[in-house]
Amino acid sequence: MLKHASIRQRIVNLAVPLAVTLILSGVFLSATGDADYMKGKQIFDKNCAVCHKISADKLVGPGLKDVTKRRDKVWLKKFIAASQEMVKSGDKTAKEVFMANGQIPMPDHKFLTDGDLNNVLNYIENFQPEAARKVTVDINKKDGFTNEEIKRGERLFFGLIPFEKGTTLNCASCHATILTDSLNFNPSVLDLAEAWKEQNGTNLYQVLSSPTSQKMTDSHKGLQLADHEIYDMSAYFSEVSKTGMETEKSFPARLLIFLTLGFLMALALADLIFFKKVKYKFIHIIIILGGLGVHVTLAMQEGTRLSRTQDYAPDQPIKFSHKVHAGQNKTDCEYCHSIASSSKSAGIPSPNLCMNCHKVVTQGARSGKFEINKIYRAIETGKSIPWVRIHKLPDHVFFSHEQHVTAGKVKCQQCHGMVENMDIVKQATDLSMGWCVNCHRRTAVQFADNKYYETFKKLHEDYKSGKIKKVTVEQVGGIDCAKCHY
Amino acid sequence: MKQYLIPAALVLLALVSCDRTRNQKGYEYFPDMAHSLAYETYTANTVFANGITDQLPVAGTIPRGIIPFQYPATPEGRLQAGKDLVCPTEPTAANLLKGKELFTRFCNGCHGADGSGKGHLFTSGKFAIQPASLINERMTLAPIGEVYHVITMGFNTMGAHGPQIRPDDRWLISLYVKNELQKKTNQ
Ligand code: HEC
Ligand code: HEC
Ligand code: HEC
Ligand code: HEC
Ligand code: HEC
Ligand code: HEC
Ligand code: HEC
Repeated sequence: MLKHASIRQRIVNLAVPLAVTLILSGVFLSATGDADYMKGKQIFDKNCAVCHKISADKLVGPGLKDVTKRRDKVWLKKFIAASQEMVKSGDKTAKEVFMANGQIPMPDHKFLTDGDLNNVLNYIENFQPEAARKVTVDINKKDGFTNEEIKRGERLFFGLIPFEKGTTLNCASCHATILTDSLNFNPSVLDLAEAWKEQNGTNLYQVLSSPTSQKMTDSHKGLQLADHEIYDMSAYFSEVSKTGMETEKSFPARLLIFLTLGFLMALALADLIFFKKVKYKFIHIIIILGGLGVHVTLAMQEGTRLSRTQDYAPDQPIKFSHKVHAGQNKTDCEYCHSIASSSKSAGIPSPNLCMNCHKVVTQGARSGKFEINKIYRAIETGKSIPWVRIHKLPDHVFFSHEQHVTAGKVKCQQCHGMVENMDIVKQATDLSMGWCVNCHRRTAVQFADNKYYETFKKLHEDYKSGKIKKVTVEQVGGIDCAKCHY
Repeated sequence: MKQYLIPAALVLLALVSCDRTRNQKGYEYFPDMAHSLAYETYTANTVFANGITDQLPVAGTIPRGIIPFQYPATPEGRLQAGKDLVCPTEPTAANLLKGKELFTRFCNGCHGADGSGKGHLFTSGKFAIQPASLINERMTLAPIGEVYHVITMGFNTMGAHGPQIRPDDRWLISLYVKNELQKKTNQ
C-alpha cells in the first residue's frame, strides 16, 4: 500500500510539474510566436513596406514571397543590413539581384539588431494575409437603421455607455462633432462617416480591430469593440452623413457692442429730453457722439466688407497644409501651381500630382493615414477633389497670373500673404479695386529693354534723359479702366 | 429727428450683425455682375457626366500645337527615347540659367541641388527611398533623351512630371542636367 502510494506519489510529483511546464511552455511558445510575428510585422511595415510586398509582385524592390526559401538566412541578414557593401565586395548573388532590379540600391538597415532581423524574416516566412474577420452582423448595411440603433450608436460614440469589452473612450473627444474654428487634424465624425459610406472606404470592422497606422494605434489605445457595437456606431455614422455636422455659432461681439451702445445712447437721449436726472449735459453729448462714432465706424467696416471675402479660410475636403508642404518641406509654390507663370489661372494641382510624393509618404505626423487615404481614394474612383475656392474676383474684372508672376515678377506672397505659414489658406488681402490700383501706382515695370513697351516713345525719351527714374505700371496704362474691366 | 433715429439704428443693426467665423464667406449685395454665367475653368458643370468643366481632350484627338509623347513608361521605352530624341534647343548660357531655375523648382526637393539624390525630402527623413543620383556614371553616359523621357513619364517610384512641366521646359531641365550638373562633378 505504502509502496504503491509512494510510487503514485512519485508519478504525480513528476507528472504535475512536467505537465505544468508543458502547458506553460506551450502557452509561452505560442505567445512568443505571436509576439515575434507582430514585432516582425511592425518592423516590416515601418522599414520595408514602402519598397516590398510579400507576394510575387514587384514594388520598388522584388516581391519577397518565398525569399527565405530562395536564399540562405545568413546571407539574407547580411544583405538586409548592408546590401551595397555586398554588391561592391563582389558577392555574386547580391550583384545579380542588384542588376535585376534596375540598379536601385536598397538602403542599409544596420540599426536593426539580430533579433529584429530574425523577427522580420520570420514574419516574411510565415506571412498570412489578414483573414477577413468573421462578423455576425450585416457589415454592408449603409442605410435604413432604426432610430434606436442610431441613438445607441451616438451614446457609444460620446462614451456614455461603457463598451462590452471594457474600456470607455469618448470618441467625440478626438473626432469633432461640431464644426469649429480651431484646427483639428483628427478626422471629424462627418469625415469618418463619409469615408465609411464610400464604396471602397473604411471597413469599420477591420479598422477598429486592427489599427492601420502608428498614429491610430497610439490614439485608440487598444480599443476593442463588439461587433454589434460597431454596427450601432455605423448606424450613427449613417445618420451623420445625412444630417451633416452642426456649425459652431460665432460669438456676435460686434453686434453686442452695437446694441449696448445703442441702449446707452437711447438712455442718454431720454434723459436729456425727459428725465433730466443727470445734471451735466456734456455727459449725454459724449455718450451720444461717441456712440454714433462707433456705430458709423462699424457700419462702414461692414459695408466695405460686403461682397469681399478677406479672412475667409474655409475647411477643405482634405486637410492639406501649406505650412507642411511649402514651409517645412520647402516645395516651390509653382511645383504645384505650375501654370501660374503661363496662364490666367494659377491652377489647383490634381490628385496625380500629389502622388509624386504620396506614393512614398503614406502618413502625416498629425493626421496619420486618414487624410492621405483620401488622395488614394480619389485616384481609385477617378473623382476630382472638390476644393473650396477662396480667392474670387467678380466677373467684371480681368486678372491674369501670367502678367504678374512672369512679366511683373511679383512674388506670390505680396498678394496672398505668407501662405507657407498657413495650415489653412486664408485670404490675406481684400482684393479690392483700391488695392490693385495702389500697387500699380507704386510698382515699377521692367522698362529699359522690354520690347513690349517699345511704343512708349515719350516715356523712353524721359527715361533716357534721366527725367524719370522709374516707370510705374500706372504710366504704361495700368490704371486705365479698360485694362481691368471689359 | 426722433422718428428717424429708430429706423437708422435698425439699418445700422442689419449691417453690423455679421460677425463671421472663418468658414463663412460674408454677404454680397447685388452680385448681378459678379458671378460668371459662362463656365470658367473650375466651375461645376452639369453638361458633362463627371460634373467638371476642365475636361481632358476627347480620346483619340490631339490638341493643336502638342506632339504626343510616344514612348511608353518602361525601361525599353526609355532606352528607345534615348536613341531617338534630339534636343531642340542649344545649351546657351541663358538656357542653362533658365534650366537651373526650373531644376530648382521641380527637382531639388528629391534629387538635391547637386543632383546627388540627397534632396531635402530625403535628408529630412520624410522619404524612405533615396531618390536616384543624376551624376553617377550610368546617368552621365545616358543620352539626353533618356533624361527627357524620365521627366515626362517617370521611372520606378518617381511620378510622371509631364503634365506639370511644359515640353520646352523639360528640355531646358535636361540640358541643365547634362551640360552643367554632370560636368560640374566630373571636373
Ligand atoms: C528603398 C526601398 C527599399 C527598402 C526600404 C527596403 N528594400 Fe529590400 N530591396 C530593395 C531593392 C531595390 C532590392 C533589389 C536589390 C538591390 O538593389 O540590391 C531589394 C532587395 C531585397 C532583398 C533580396 C531579394 C532577393 O530576391 O534576393 C531582400 C531579402 C530585401 N530586399 C529585404 C528587405 C527588408 C527586410 C527590408 C526592411 C528592413 C527592405 N528590404 C527594405 C529596396 C528596398
Ligand atoms: C504640394 C502642393 C502645393 C504647394 C507646394 C503650394 N500649394 Fe497652394 N494650393 C495647393 C492646393 C491643393 C490648394 C487647394 C486647397 C487649399 O485651398 O488649401 C492650394 C490653394 C492655394 C491658394 C488658395 C486658392 C483659392 O482657392 O483661392 C493659394 C492662394 C495658394 N495655394 C498659394 C500658394 C503659394 C503662395 C504657395 C507657395 C508658398 C503654394 N500655394 C504652394 C497645393 C500647393
Ligand atoms: C513634394 C512632395 C509632396 C507633394 C507634391 C505633396 N505632398 Fe503632402 N506631404 C509631403 C510630406 C513630406 C508630408 C509630411 C509627412 C509628415 O508629416 O511626416 C506630407 C503630408 C501631407 C499630409 C498630412 C499632413 C499632416 O500634418 O498630417 C496631407 C493631408 C497631405 N500631405 C496632402 C497632400 C495633397 C492633397 C497633395 C496634393 C495637392 C500633396 N500632399 C502633395 C510631401 C508632398
Ligand atoms: C485620442 C484620440 C482618439 C479617440 C479617443 C478616438 N479616435 Fe478614432 N482616430 C484617431 C486618429 C488620430 C485617427 C486617424 C489615424 C490614422 O488614420 O492614421 C483615428 C481614426 C479612426 C478611424 C479610422 C478611419 C479610417 O478610415 O482609417 C475610425 C473608424 C475611428 N477612428 C473611430 C473611432 C471610434 C469609434 C472611437 C471611439 C470608440 C474613436 N475613434 C476614438 C483618434 C482618436
Ligand atoms: C498681383 C497679385 C497676385 C500675385 C502676384 C499672385 N496672385 Fe494668385 N490670385 C490673385 C488674385 C486676384 C486671384 C483671384 C483670381 C480670380 O478670381 O480670377 C488669385 C487666385 C489664385 C488662386 C486660385 C485659383 C486660380 O487659379 O485662380 C491660386 C491657387 C493662386 N492665386 C496662387 C498663386 C500663386 C502660387 C502665386 C505665385 C506664383 C500667385 N497666386 C501670385 C492675385 C495674385
Ligand atoms: C503687388 C502689386 C500688384 C497688385 C496688388 C496688382 N498688380 Fe496688376 N500689375 C502689377 C505689375 C508690376 C504689372 C506690370 C507687369 C508688366 O511688367 O507688364 C501689372 C500689370 C497688370 C495688368 C496689365 C497691364 C497692362 O499694361 O497690360 C493688369 C490687367 C493688371 N495688372 C490687373 C490687376 C488687377 C485686376 C489687380 C487686382 C486684383 C492687380 N493687377 C493687382 C502689380 C500688381
Ligand atoms: C487694376 C485693375 C482695375 C482698374 C484699372 C480699374 N478697376 Fe474697377 N475694379 C477692379 C476690381 C478688382 C474691382 C472689384 C472690387 C471688389 O470686388 O471689391 C473693381 C470694381 C469696380 C466697380 C464696382 C463694382 C461693384 O460691384 O461694386 C466699379 C464701378 C469700377 N470698378 C469702375 C472702374 C472704373 C470707372 C475704372 C477706371 C477709372 C476702373 N474701375 C479701373 C479693378 C480695376
